[in-house]
Amino acid sequence: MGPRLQGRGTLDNEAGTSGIFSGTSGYYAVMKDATAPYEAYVREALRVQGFSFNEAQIAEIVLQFSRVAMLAASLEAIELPPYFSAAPVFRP
Amino acid sequence: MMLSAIDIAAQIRSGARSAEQVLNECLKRVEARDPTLNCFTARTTDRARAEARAVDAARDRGDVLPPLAGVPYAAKNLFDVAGLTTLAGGHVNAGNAPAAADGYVIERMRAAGAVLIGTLNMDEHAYGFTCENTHYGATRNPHDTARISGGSSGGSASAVGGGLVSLSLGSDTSGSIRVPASLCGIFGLKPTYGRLSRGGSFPFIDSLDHVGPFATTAPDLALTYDVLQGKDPNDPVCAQRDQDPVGLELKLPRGLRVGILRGWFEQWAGESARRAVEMAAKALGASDDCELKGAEAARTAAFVITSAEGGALHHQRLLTRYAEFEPASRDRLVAGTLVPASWVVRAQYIRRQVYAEALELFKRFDLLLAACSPVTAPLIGSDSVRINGQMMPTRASLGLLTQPISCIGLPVCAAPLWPGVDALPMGVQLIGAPWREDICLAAAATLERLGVAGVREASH
Repeated sequence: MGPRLQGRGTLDNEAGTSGIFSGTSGYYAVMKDATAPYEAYVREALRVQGFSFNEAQIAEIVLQFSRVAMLAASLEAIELPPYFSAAPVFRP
Repeated sequence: MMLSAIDIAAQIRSGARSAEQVLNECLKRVEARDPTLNCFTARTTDRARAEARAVDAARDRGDVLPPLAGVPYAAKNLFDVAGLTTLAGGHVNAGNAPAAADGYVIERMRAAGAVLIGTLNMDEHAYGFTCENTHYGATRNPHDTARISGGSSGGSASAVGGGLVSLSLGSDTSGSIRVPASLCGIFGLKPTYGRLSRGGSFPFIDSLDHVGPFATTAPDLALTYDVLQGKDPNDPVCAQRDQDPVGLELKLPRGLRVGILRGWFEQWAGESARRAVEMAAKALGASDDCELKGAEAARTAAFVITSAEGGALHHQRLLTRYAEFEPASRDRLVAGTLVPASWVVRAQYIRRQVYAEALELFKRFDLLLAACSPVTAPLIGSDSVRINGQMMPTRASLGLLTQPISCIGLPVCAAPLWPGVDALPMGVQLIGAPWREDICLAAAATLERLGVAGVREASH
């Protein structure tokens, strides 16, 4: 099972709500304990995709994935109009 | 001070100098300065000589010369140049076959008479904002060679800022024209998504990739933009729109409504960035604040899309040639291959939503202002930068102010200001509604005419 996402913030909630940038402790403090929820997913997904890495490399990949996951989580709770489509915007 | 491209072309047209003379002087500057700056990864001297001689021959015949006839320029090494391997900053690409033909924008420059003298350094696969390339070295900032040029189009910006060439070409996925333009103190244009063809360029993130020019003056930038326009069936994103030249007059419409972007764009602007915006706003008579709702979400969406598309693009080679990739970005690419599709789809929805918010904003304003980068050029090798009291990772943070705008495809002209906080330049983003590059460029030219924005001679 993939990481469970919990959304935060809305489009009207502008300043520093995505977790990765929130609070006064800053980026490094936030990231310190952020990787644990994703490690099992990353290990399994790497195996399924055919990657083979040592433990140091996996730790770095888990860290990088966790950064994306924390940011992606902030998008989940944003309310979008019904029947919304992404397609027309970037068709020049 | 180096001549502008328009002045160089005028001299050649009048016969004051030949294209070959201009080329020789340019090559001397490159010989003298590039060992320090490390802008170039390949020189195309034979081709340049042939192109310069062709310009001189055309003039001797009495032909009408095209607008950039005899003007030397260089291009980021992700553009195909016939006979050269397209590196895209990657040592992993060095064994690829040479390009069989020029990319679209290189071909457009050739047709305009410009003389290609070489290809330029970049972050590997454009995945970075610092141009510290492990395999090809760091490109240095012409105003302080201990500092980064910014990236990913760092070679393109440093070559212009350092006076090696008056024009260059780069690409911008999340800020890769605007950030190095800001740090190197030059003009840069990221047009509307789809306005200029990416045909014959090494892709990074298809959903977000733009190409555009760098220059030492706003009129040079406008002229080059006009030269690069055209329909290209080989880039499915390229707008099938007629050419829409902005020309060289570059006058702002009367009653221009300028909004100063606050919120996210103020929160992540350091002192120099805030001062630059104030200076530009004052010069343009702007006093109205505004917010782009969802700016943070757009930045986040760009981050997620970049991760997934970048990982997908390089997936197969990461399986077999991981060790050859840039150490600074290869684990990010691998992590990107693991991103669930639902996150990416969500991010694409968010793009459209924020785009709609931007269109609402353009009912009230014709032009929006924000800084290009949170801080001026950091030192080479610095892992973190301080932005308004918070320590942030350098590589991820330099694009905080550019990512929300490129995510929704708006045209932006970066104009160089000198706020005086630390003797380094800081760019402002002059942001227009879709397809309104004319307003962005006119705003840049206005700031330049007023003496508020402009290129300064490099110190090195």
